Amino acid sequence: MRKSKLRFWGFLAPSLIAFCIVVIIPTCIGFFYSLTNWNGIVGSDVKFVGFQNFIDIFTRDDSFVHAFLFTALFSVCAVVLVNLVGFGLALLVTQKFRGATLLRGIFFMPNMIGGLLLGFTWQFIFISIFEAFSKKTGIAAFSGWLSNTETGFIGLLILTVWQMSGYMMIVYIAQIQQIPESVKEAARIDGANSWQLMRYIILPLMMPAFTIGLFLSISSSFKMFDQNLALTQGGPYKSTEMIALNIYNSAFGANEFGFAQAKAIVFLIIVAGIGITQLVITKRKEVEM
Amino acid sequence: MKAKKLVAVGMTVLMLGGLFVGCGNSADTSTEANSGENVKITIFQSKIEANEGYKKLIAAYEKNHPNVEINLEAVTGNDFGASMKAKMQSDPPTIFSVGGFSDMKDYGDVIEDVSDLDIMQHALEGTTDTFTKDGKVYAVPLYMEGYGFVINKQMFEDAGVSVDSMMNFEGMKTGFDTLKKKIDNGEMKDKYPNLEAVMEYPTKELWIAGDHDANVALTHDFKTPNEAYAADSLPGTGLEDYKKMVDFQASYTTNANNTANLNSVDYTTSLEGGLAIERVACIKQGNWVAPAVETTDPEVLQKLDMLPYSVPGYSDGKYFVGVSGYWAIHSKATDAQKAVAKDFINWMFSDPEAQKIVVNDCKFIPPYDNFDGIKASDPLSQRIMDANNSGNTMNGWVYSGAPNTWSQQVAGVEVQKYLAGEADWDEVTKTCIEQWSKLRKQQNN
Amino acid sequence: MKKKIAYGVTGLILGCIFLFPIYILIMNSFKTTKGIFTDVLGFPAKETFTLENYKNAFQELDYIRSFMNSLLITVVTAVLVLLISAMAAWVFVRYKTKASKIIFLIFAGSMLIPFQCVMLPLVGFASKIGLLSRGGLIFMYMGFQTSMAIIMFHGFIKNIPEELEEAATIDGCGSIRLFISIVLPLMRTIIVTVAVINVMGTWNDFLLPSLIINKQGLQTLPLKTYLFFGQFAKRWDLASAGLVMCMAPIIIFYLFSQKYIVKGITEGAIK
Repeated sequence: MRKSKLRFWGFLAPSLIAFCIVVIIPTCIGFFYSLTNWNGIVGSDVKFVGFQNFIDIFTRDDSFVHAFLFTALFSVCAVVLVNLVGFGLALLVTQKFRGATLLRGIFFMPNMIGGLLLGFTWQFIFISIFEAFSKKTGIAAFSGWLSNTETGFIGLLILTVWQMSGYMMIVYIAQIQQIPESVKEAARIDGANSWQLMRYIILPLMMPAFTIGLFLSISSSFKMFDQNLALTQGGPYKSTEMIALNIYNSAFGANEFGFAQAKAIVFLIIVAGIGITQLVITKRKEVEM
Repeated sequence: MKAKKLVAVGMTVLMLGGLFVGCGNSADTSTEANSGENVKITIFQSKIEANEGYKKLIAAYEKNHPNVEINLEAVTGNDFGASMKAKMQSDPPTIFSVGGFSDMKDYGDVIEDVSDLDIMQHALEGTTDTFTKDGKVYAVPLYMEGYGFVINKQMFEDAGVSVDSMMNFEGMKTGFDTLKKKIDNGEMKDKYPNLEAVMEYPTKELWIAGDHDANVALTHDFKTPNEAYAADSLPGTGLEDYKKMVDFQASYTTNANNTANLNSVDYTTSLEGGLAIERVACIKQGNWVAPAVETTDPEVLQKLDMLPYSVPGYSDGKYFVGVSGYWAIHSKATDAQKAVAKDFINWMFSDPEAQKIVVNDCKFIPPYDNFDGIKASDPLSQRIMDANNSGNTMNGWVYSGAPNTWSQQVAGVEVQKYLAGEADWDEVTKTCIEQWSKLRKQQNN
Repeated sequence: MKKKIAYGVTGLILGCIFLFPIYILIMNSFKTTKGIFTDVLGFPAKETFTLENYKNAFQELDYIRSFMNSLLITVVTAVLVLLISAMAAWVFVRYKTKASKIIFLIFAGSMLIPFQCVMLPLVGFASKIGLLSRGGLIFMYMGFQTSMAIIMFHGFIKNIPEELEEAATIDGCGSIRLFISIVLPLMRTIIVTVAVINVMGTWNDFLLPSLIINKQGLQTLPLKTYLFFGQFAKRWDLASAGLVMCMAPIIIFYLFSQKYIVKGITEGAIK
């Protein structure tokens, strides 16, 4: 088959152009600002400060490092849970039983509300409903949610799993349905039990979806912002402040846009490292059909 | 084959080109404003609660000025900083909300001198200080707000406590103790089935534990926001009183024995889910709570009153009052736009019809002396207006002169830690004082 | 049979957990503010039941117009993003050149850029080239969403055997026809999946439209709904009704698309 360069670039052009204008160019402009003391307001003075902002990130206070560690811990838990639950749900709803299609819709429903509004809704649940429930039943564990770091962390985790696992389910369903019935049939005829079928047939063929699922969940949990802002606002005492919110607060709370851009770049480098490592590792495990 | 590929490329280019053209056209129409007689201005504001009132004002103004079109855009305070910076880049508003000193500093290059507005002659003393530089005023004060202890008068009277007896700290404490005893005994249960505690203290909100309560501490050292703004360090003589009032409020809540839980109580829980449904008898708040109480239960609003924010031996009988919202005019707007913006602001604070809308619909306490005879629309605002007239006030916005982010991210956060048992008050004091100097130094650079 | 019952029961329990927050939202949307805060868990009682929330929210949202605005932006965005991303993903998979691999990695890597980082430079740059309009917003969505769609399509296309395309090419089928008549139909299921995810994202997005088209008459449903959440006070009575009204069209869309997904499979797109 003749593969012309023209076709490659022609088909790529529309997305590449949009992508460059919307993502790449602003990122480069952002990099330029990270070397300045700009406060984010058009018309005000901009002074070139070299790499001072990058030094400040680690020397001025430990809020960035703290936010990063919190985000990393959160992401590890969230990625594992979201993908396990999402895959489990996908397996469940692809079985043939009454209501499977309806369930698929139900599990996906949390994605139908936007992140900020969703955060407010959950805040309402944790604060008002849990409290009411605790009063009714006398179970103290439901009282005082979001008042300390632990419940703030778990609260964010619950919200994330609730919202994202339905999304991952959709990703996994598409792949499960890609696995030809004939392959499974053949394995069954060869005497494979359900576990073996899962371990040796389904899981390996699912690898492309896992690559995507892991990548999407890593990138969205590291970048998580809306839910963090709406649910805990980083509180109590900034202990649940995640990295995107930390950057946002620097840029728009403290009006230190250049400093915030520098944080964003450090963050980007770290996350890109993690994300690309993951892509490389899981891609190696993929089998092509 | 080749031709088809060319078509592919052409198609995509056309598609993208079409998009660009489409956008270019629509952008053109919105930027050209001052051609001919028609003038179009934009107000970009953060007080969503007053949006309906502003709409009425605009409608009334446009009726008398058919060639003027005023576009009102509102973004909630949470995102206002971000949206405003973006707005400044894209399509700068003619009038926009500004707050404290950091805005004066950050937006200083783009805000217009408004000293020559007629209405400024009526501005109450001190209300323009924050935005005054070299004798010129750069923003128009919009409304005053005042805070103290908002109480359900009826409940206290039913418990045998008169409002007048609580106008100082000792009286307030005695009154609260009396009510607390009756609640604990179950004596109030019949009349107020929801009643659980005397107070609620929502320290999840940093502006409650930080801004307002911290303000008490700051007034010991600085009389006005400008003094605070000029200070490189915080003497901290008022921090003991800060503790006293935090402890005082926490001790009358249902979580008095487990104050860590207060950090999960938010404003809504204390207001719509507290005061307005008669679950608690008092919250430390300002006149701004009136609309929320009214939508929840208008009858409760009529039972409300506000006690002074009495710190024993310091601010007995005083309400904390100040200007909390300003409007600035963009200096790079066209002359026609500026003229309309100025005329609109003059009109809204001087025309009798507009004044009524300002007080009744926007629910503002006007920071001007030409509002004679207009009654506030709720008992809380009336209290503040009266306090203003009799001089029973202290400056409630001294905290706005603190280094940017200090009052919430340092003071408020430290109070959360204190209530959670993560820090004792000595540590709170130390951090508050240290961070003041540190942030000031950073921000002056 | 036993197995099926076990699936059913598990599904039922999980379904209830997933639906709980939405149940709460719907329940409270029929209560007065007082009703919400005096009894947040229960059904609306006689004295707290109200339909006013919906009536008021409908008016304040300017529902019909905001709905049309949301619909227009969402549909056009979805169509364009799906098209350009499918095109790109296809050549990414079929061309195993260095350039292809590197550009693909850049697309993937860009998903790790937090939106807040590019936000200000983007708005500044966009205003210079005249992108602050509905068309501009859609164009920005194309730039932001194409990465995710490409990644999803990429994973899927990899599993489609290339033989079919080779055969078609030998028969003299050109690039565009090859793509439209061979590749796209094979991608049906994944296109619907990505469309669903994409539509949800655009429909519910808040920050970007708030920066680009926060103008009277252009606002989308989430922009309007957000006005019920003041800086300090939240109008839960109106907000809960507003959220339900914001979700309803999406749920209908989802149910519709799900039928299509199921149909696509039974028709045997993949054999």
